[in-house]
Order: sequence, then C-alpha cells, then structure tokens
Amino acid sequence: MTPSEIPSDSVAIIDSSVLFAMGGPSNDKYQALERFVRRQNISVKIPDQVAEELGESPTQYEYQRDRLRAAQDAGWLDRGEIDFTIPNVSKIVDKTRTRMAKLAASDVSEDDIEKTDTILAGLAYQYAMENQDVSVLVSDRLAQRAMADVLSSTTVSEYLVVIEGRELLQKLIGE
Amino acid sequence: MSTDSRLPVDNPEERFLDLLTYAELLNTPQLARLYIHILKNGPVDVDTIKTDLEMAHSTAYKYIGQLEEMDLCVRQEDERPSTVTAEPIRLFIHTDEDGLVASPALVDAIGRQLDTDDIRVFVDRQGVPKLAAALHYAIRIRNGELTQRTAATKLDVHPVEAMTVFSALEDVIDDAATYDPYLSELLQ
Repeated sequence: MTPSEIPSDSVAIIDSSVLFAMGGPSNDKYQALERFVRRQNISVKIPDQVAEELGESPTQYEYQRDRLRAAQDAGWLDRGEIDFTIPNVSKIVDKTRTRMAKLAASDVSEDDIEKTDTILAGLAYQYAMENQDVSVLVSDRLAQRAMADVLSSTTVSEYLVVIEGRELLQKLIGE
Repeated sequence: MSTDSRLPVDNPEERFLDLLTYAELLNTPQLARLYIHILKNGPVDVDTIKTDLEMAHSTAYKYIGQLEEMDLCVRQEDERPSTVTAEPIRLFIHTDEDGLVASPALVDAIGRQLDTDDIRVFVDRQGVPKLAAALHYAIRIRNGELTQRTAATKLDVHPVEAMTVFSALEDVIDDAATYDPYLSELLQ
C-alpha cells in the first residue's frame, strides 16, 4: 500500500483506530496526514457514530476528543452521516457484519460485532454511489479484510479501497 | 496458574520464585522499563543506561542490583566499562479451563506507563490485570481474530478507552517482536 493509492479529490473515511494512532496536532503523524490530505484535496470524514462514541467517552479521554476537534476546526475533517434510505446501504452494513463474524475467531459470534465497525463500510459505499473515489482508513486487520471483501463485490468497487491506516501514517512521515 | 501437585517438580521453590519475580516486574514500572531496556540493548554499560533512561546514578545501581538478585540480568565485571545483559523471561499461567503466556512484551507495556500517557491513564483507571488483558486482546487483534470494538466489549471498557490503549499496545507489539521470542510465537 502506498499513499498514491488514495486519489486526489477523493473522500477518506477515518476510524478511531487511525485517529488515535496519529496522535495530537503536535505529533509528526498528525501533521503528515494533514499535509497529505490538504495537498491532495482529500475530504476526510468521520462517521457520526464514531464521533458520538468519542463524545460519550470517559472524561479522562477528553484529549482524544480534542484531537478530533482540532482537525475539525482546522477544516480538514468533518462528520459523515450514513443514509440508510439509499438503496443497498443497509445491505452492505449487514453483509459486513456477517463477513466479520465469519472471518473472526470461533469465540466471536455475529452478535459480538459492533455496529460502528460495519457503518464504515456502509458510508464508504454511500459515497461511492455518488461516483466519488473513496478510501477507508482503518488499523484493524479483521475490519480491513471484511470491508475489503464486501466492498470489492459491489457494483462500485472500482471507486473503493480499504487501507491500513497505521502503515499509511508511517509512510507519510517518511516522505 | 499451574497448581497441580500430582506432577513432580524438580525445584518447586524456584518455580514460585519465578512467579514472584514476574509479579515484582509487573508492580514496579521503573524496574520493568530498565529490564526491557537491557533486554533490547544488552550488552549495555551502566552510564549509557543512565543517560538513555534519564536515571540518577544511585537509582540505576539500585535497580540493576535488584535485577541481578532476581536473576534477570548479569553484569560482566571483567569488561571496562562493565556491561549488563538480560534474558527474555516468560510465565505460563494455566487453569483447569485455559492458559496463557506472559512474556517480556507485557513487562514492556508496564514500563511504558512512565512515558506513554495512553497507557498511564489506562492503568490508573483500570489496573495492571486489565492492561495485561488488553495486551492479550491486542495480540489477537493483530492476528485478525476480532476487531478492536469487539475486543473492547470483551474487555468490558468503553470503546474509546480500549482503542486508545490498543493503539499504544500496537507500538509495544511492533517493538517487542524484535526482542521477545515468545511473542513471535503468538503472532500469526
């Protein structure tokens, strides 16, 4: 995976696993990602559910919310709202849950799959349906595999790519 | 923990000593950090250790002496300056139902409380056993066995708290893969 897999003028959906790995505004990884998305004119989205999850976290994790707020205030990240009225969006979410459970270890059932994990794939599909190039940035091997499997079997697969976010950050600070 | 008294044990005293040694490392972040530094960098001389870890002279000697007493490190006095080396240790914890292995990676995570806020906040709130469990899940996440959010539910902490510590433990796993042979056995 190289940063060049993310096209200019595209949408990048980011999960907490990458948000936390990039650190705060003074961190090299945070700055490298900000430079990259500005240079490439990439629109970075965080699903509403992920933002809400951050909002209701224990007060000791206020600093994680601050990182999100800093990126929002700087204008390079905003929230993305999934729209279940768009055809097939809920089907993609359901398929992702089923795929995650199938790929997971035997002590994980479909009921153990958290909805927020599956929303990322549904939101990516939603943007791709608007003929936009979309990358999903996650740092979670199972989630990455399941989303890649499901999204690659859609009619808009040529618009979609799932990327290991920590590796991307590492490559961006090396540039 | 293995408490099966039916099995002959060559040296039961040494086994219990190993248990206490590991517990001492888990309860003393400064000692844990020093042990991992020596394990990663040994043979390393004491002055270098003091500089790298910003430790006072007396503190460095006190903890190195303690690690020597615990048989966790060896000082080469015939070299000038004298150097210290350490060996990776592991603890098998078995019950009737299941078992797991604690290896130097966990000791590393304990030591990082001193300089990694994401781990310090977690231990302050949740304690060392929960951190050890978080590392167990972080390894399973790395192996693609479950997602971070599913692991958060199993760990019984808020997803943001769990994903914060998982992210910090990813760094531990990356580093430990280079000096912890027992961790390598767990990674797929």
